[in-house]
Amino acid sequence: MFVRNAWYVIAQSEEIDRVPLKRTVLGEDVVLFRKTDGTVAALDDRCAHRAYPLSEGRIVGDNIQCGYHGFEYNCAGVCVRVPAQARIPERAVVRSYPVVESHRWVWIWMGDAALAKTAEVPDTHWMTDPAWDRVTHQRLFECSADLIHDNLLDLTHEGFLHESTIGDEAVYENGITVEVDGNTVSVDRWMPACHPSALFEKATGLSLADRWHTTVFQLPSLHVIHAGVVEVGGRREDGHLLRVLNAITPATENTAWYFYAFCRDFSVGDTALNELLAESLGGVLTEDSDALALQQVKMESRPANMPDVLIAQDAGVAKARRMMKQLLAAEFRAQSPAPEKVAAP
Amino acid sequence: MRLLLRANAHRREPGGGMEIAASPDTRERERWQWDVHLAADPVGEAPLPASVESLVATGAMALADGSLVHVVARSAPAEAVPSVEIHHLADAMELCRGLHEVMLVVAGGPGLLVEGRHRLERLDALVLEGDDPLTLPLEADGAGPIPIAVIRLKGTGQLGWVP
Ligand code: FES
Ligand SMILES: [Fe+2]
Repeated sequence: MFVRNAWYVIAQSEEIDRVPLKRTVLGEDVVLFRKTDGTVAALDDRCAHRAYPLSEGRIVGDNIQCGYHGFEYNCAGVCVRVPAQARIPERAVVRSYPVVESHRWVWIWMGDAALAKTAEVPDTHWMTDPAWDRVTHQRLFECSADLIHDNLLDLTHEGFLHESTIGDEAVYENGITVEVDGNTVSVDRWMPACHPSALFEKATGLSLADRWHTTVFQLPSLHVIHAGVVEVGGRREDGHLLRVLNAITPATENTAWYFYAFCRDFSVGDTALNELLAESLGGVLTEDSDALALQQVKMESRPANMPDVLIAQDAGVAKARRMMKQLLAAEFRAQSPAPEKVAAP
Repeated sequence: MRLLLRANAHRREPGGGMEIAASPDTRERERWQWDVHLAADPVGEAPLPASVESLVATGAMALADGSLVHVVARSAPAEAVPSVEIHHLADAMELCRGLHEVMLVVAGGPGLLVEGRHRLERLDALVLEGDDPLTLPLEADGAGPIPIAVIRLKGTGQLGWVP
């Protein structure tokens, strides 16, 4: 079960061109391609004729041609050509999905298309803002999207799983403030006068700093971590600032796409630092992905009467899970109208 | 772990009241410990199963906009003793919290500044527990006194938001 009425990142801009790209999101196979005007089209990846994947076909102008018997569909998913006959069957239609390309990410709406019109794509402008530099990664995690949400809302794991790079005891020794506001959960941790972690000592030159990170989870998919370090006693806005974007898109019930961008407002254009960060943070993501794959296996084999044992630091996790359930329940209610009352005979 | 719960995040209840906070937050995972509700009528909060014993404390708070809400705090007697105080904050004050005490502050109007950094608006709530500070400075950040409900759950032993 997935929340469908929401924008999810399905691809990085540079992945989509004039060759069909197949991607599984929210349990559905989608085919993506670029039209002649450069905009992106997304269709259900299953030909209406005999269910061959459209992603095995080719792009003809603004249409996609099935590679099996040549049915051709326009960007709205309507078949416009059947090579073997003049008449186009009425049911020769595949579903098309709303897509928006914004700051190098392509977002898709898998739910009720009418609702997409009034929902804004989340802000990720740090991806293209010239005042910021960034390194990006993309992974398919072998775990449910929920485990990644939990991971990002409880960064105390940094002190153990990412000990050699971004984590240390400052993370779990300092308390958090969890805020719940509408469909957003944020977890803020202030870490005064501490070592800024091995990686950030290299990146900033500071060996003692006030440090913070605030994970802002805009349910159901995007976590923006507002983080930074500043000389002890300084103001947050004067520090070395980071925005770490984590767009999590369920692929299936137990796999998820992870689109990651580590954006910084210092040493912009420093290619050596970009290389260091790309490699180190790629390693951090691998540590997360390996751990979460192991956790997924254990979760699946765990008896249902042994739920997690939560602690105070899990407050954000607990709140987000409950809100995700509420979103799912609300979509379910909206989809299943109340049964009509039938008069007793 | 401070928990800042905006008014739009409170759990609406069928009877028209709202649950501000509860432990456990997800029902039925753990043994019930305590909960705090706002209700139009002091007995209108979510019913507990008949087998669950509870201590109840209530307080009527006239909000800055003139409406009246009943603050209802309940706890399992073996875990905690609840109390509700209503204050009117004209300028500044400091609240103290005991060891093993969970304390909630609910703003009855806009402009309640807590610890100089959390601005609470009408019916926003802040929960303090465990390792959080034992003193909490409050200031009225705007015109007029702000009604405030202070709910305490004095634990018989260690008590938290997460049981
Ligand atoms: S399966 Fe696509 S044209 Fe036949
Ligand atoms: Fe991690």
